[in-house]
Amino acid sequence: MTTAAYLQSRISRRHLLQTSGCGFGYLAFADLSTQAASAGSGIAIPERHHPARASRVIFLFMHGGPSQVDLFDYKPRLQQENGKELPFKAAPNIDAKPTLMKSPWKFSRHGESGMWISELLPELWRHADDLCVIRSMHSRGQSHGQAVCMLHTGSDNFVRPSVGAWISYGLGTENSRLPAFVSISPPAGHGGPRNYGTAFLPASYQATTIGRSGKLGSGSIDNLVSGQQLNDQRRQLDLLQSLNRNHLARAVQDAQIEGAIESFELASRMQETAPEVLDISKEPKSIQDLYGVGDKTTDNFAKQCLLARRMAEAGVRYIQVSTGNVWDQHSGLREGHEKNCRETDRPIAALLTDLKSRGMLEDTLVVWGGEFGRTPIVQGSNGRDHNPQGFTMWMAGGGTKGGLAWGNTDEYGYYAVENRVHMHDLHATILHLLGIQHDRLTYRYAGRDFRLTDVYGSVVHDIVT
Amino acid sequence: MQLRILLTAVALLSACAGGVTADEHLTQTATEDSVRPTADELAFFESRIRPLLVRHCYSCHSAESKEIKGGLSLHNRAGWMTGGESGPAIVPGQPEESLLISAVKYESYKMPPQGKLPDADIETLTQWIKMGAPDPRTEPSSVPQSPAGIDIEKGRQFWAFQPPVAHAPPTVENQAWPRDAIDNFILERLERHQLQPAGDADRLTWLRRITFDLTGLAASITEQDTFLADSSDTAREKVVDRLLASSQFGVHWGRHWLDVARYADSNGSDFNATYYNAWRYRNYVVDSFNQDRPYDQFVREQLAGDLLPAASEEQKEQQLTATTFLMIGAKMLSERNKEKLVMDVVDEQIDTVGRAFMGMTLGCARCHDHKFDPIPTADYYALAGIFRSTVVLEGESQAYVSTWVETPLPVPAELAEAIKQHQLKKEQLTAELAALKKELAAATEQKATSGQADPAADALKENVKKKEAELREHDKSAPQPPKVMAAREAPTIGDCEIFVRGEVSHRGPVVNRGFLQVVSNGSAHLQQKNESGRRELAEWIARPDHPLTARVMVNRIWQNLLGEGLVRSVDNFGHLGELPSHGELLDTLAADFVDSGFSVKSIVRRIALSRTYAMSTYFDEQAFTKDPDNRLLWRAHRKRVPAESLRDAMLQVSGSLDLTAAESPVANLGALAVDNSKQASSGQSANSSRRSLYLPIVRNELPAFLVVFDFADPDIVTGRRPETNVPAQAMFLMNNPFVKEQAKRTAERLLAESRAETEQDSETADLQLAEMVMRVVVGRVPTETERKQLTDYVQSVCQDDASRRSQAWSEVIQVLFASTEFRMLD
Repeated sequence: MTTAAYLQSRISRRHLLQTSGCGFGYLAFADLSTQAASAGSGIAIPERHHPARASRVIFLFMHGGPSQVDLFDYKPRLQQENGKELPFKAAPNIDAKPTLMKSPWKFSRHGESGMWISELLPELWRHADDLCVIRSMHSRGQSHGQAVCMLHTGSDNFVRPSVGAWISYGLGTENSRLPAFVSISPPAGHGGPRNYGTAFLPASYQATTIGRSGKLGSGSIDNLVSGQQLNDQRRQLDLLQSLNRNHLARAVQDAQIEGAIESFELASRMQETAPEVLDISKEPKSIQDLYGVGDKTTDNFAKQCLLARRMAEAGVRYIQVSTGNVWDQHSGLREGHEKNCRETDRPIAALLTDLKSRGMLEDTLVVWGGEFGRTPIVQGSNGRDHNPQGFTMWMAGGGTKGGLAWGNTDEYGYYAVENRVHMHDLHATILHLLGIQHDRLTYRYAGRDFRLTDVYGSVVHDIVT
Repeated sequence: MQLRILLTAVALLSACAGGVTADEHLTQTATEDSVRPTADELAFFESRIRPLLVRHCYSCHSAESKEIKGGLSLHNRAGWMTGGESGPAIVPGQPEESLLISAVKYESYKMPPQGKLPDADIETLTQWIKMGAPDPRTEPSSVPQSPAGIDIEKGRQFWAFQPPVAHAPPTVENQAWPRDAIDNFILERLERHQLQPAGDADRLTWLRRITFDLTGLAASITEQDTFLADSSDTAREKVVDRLLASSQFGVHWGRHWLDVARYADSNGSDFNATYYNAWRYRNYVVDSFNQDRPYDQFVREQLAGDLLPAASEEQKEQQLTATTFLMIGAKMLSERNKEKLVMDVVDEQIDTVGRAFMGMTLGCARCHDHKFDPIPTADYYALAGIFRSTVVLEGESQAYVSTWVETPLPVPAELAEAIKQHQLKKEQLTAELAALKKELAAATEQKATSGQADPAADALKENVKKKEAELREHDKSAPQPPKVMAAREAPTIGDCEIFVRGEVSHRGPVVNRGFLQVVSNGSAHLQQKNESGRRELAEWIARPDHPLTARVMVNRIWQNLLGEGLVRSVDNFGHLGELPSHGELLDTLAADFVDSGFSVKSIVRRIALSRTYAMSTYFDEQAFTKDPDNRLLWRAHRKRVPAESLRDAMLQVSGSLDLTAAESPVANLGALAVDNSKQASSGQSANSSRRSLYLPIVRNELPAFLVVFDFADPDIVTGRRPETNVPAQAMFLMNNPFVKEQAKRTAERLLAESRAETEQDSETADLQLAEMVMRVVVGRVPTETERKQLTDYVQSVCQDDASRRSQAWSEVIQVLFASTEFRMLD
């Protein structure tokens, strides 16, 4: 801590905001000054670099790599030339044969925009005009591990802070009783916690996790519940805090002790608030039905999406929902993708409907996608291999243009060729929508200023309203 | 040398971060809105055009060139569109209008100057421009603006690159205060600033502090009593020597090193393979600190233990084990481009070696000359050649997924016998199974002919199944011959090319293997070109006059005892690191460290017995105003108790701590420590009552207790742990079953002891218990007020129900576990 910062810390509230959890990350914006730290609520509303279009993000991570040519990227030539040889070189280090395999599913156009969406996603059809579909994504990493880390941290090989950590560092939370960054059922492998970790950013910006590997599990936060009556615990807390205050009195002044004292108050508030937010049974039956809660096929993912909406509503800044590593159809494309779509289509459509009806879609950015797409060429007899060279992701709300299909892959849906959007560009764009300039959100570590987009990234201004 | 000069001139614009502004991106986008290449065009460019440009043009017209000739860069699309001094080089679609074509035809300029291109190549270029010159190279320009060189000679003037020399202790006014020369250095600076050192911490505070600092454990009541009763002048020395001699010293100090060595029991990263044998290194580190292995030797063994002479088999094993240091970084094992993977591993090693031993951030120089320190890219690749000539990865566990080297260790006779017996038993079982199967086949055949059900055949079928299961079980219980994760020399040894911008696809010139020029007096190159160079690198880092090695280590020791390093940026002694607060003291300690034969224990002992260490954390308004960061050490820093010690101390006071050393904590895990399908978390189920050092450090699945309390991230070198105050810690202390369990056990233990000793009424007993509890948990005697606070609490819980007494005390103890006093060292 610098001398100046230490002197500042004599104002304990300010110090608390800097060192306590819940991602009071306005330090990132220290240079922007005018920090509106409202002493009463303890919430810092930092000044953005430019007006924000989105206040929060819900990232729907399709772990394993969904196939663009079977969901959003309609390619008539692929359909016509089924079984023929790919007329150009396939990417290196893959197991697929250079033989084209058509999509087993029909595509049709939807909404006023006439967006192409396959028959696998009938619920999403209704939201065709809300979607901003980027068909020209490309990324780094031919294997899951690299590509998953690339998507989450902007690096396919080095340990770097995750997108959510950067955002909670940059913007903090909207609700002091809840963490800024929550990851629901995050992947356990392929980088695991690195994908929601802070690397060298302060630990307080890491995600609070619920469940893992695509499964909601108990749906609770670790150590949130004491098993004691809250009243009994309050009595215990009173004793604790009085001992701590004795300690502080002997120390006369100590920012760390003050920070610890405040952390118990925060925890106590979180214990009161979070269980309420986590309890999806509080939702009306109609809403539960909309998502597909209680329906065996959709129940797991429905609960996760519904939880995400409750978190968003309660002020969590960055929420990620992940499927398990289920999209990786090296074989059995038909069965695999049909099952995955059956399980996620309705909950995702419901999330959009629900956000929209609450007026929240306007300032909530929803992002959908996997770590890469899949090859239009066949692996084995009925599978597709990894394809970071070209794939589809979509965004909705949060200042993105609905009903827009942006960019193109080649005629077979293999390589992104037109208006290419790299993963770095996607990250830059997400930050942009949140009012952050991606090349100004930096953190100094080991002698360097690091940023999410490293030395890359361009905002895709054309997809912003 | 010429090569290095050339390379230092290559300063790339795209810095590690922040180099590209939004404005540049905007220009970028504006020049790029023309047609994107199609896949065919892309293929054409990649296979035909790029190689031509790289081979014939890049040396003068790209980021790689010393200066861009004629201002023309052919490094990317924007380069040739803007063109150089003679205007745009290419007019897409119009070869006859393009300067590039007339130049290669030797019609306007004569390019390349070394000799005219073959006609076929000129035709290819013409064809490409006809196509519209599709060019995918749209990455931010890396054209050097003002080639800045690195002046190594000037770089050597920086304090950290000057060899440390001992200084005479300065004279001080208050001559009664210093106990050691250390104190003179501290006091002299304080006096110069008209500051007074804080008084000594009271005896129990000092005892708690030193016991945690040296062993990571709490001082027991007996130890407290012994120390309080010892009024001799050597009372403190006795304590320090007792603690230094304790095997728990190595456990605690070994852990400090493991933070730096980014130790883990699994690979983490993309493919979290289990490191079954990493524990051997962990125990080697613990032993090294317990045996006070000279630090220079410790350094040499970790870098090149496999190459050092050994007097015995045991020493050989130990040295081999030390090289696990090079192996345990997180690696992207499933990276399909293996060349890239190898260079990423090399990078991880260079970065770790740089920061761990020298406090230098070398990783920056992978892509360009270090921006702030005199480390040219050539130095990086001089080191890279050494590590690329060392094998870390070997084989694949499944398609595309690499594995690492495991070297067999000598098999002890007992184990050899066990393996033999196991093999014999296996053969026997296999034979029995074959016999049963034969019988079954016969019975089945008979059944087929007779057409009648045969109960004997069913029984046989059952027996075959049983035997098969038995065999499977037997296989699982096979005794494993010991192996160690050890580095070894590569079959092909050689220098490394520079990879431009760190990309394996961009080869530059080859660099001689060697060390950092800025800290080398004479040649920084290897003497023995037929070895990888690790042995020489180890000698070079561990040599007594290396300006960084001793300084960095004594600074770490100082930090671990005093709370802050003399150089606070313990892993960065470069220009972006901090300057030392007491440079002469640091240098004197470093010189003394070398003179002591690199004895860690003797430096620890000296600092621990200094007056400086013994100061209280007393707050002084005036001093605070002058020096709020306590850089001058006018008082002791209040330190955090590290995660392991919090956990260990809870186990210790509850009477559950098991001090025995352990072997592999991950023996029960599969080849993949964590995978995507597992719902249970392996690391969190760690339910050991051994010291936390022995918990499984499974990357991506660290023990929850440790993570919550700021454990060092094993993915990166951590010389100084972060210190956070987050609600997750508060929730853990209030709600976690482990904490509650230890509190309960402590209460039961203390209640049982007090019952055994006293016959008093419960009120008196409670007052006595309050004292005992405070002394056991926070290591001091409570005040009257505190005694009353605790007993009031107990009485309010019990009210009329005396059976709740134990519960009440366990709640009190949990409160103490959660208290700032327990979690900090005053």
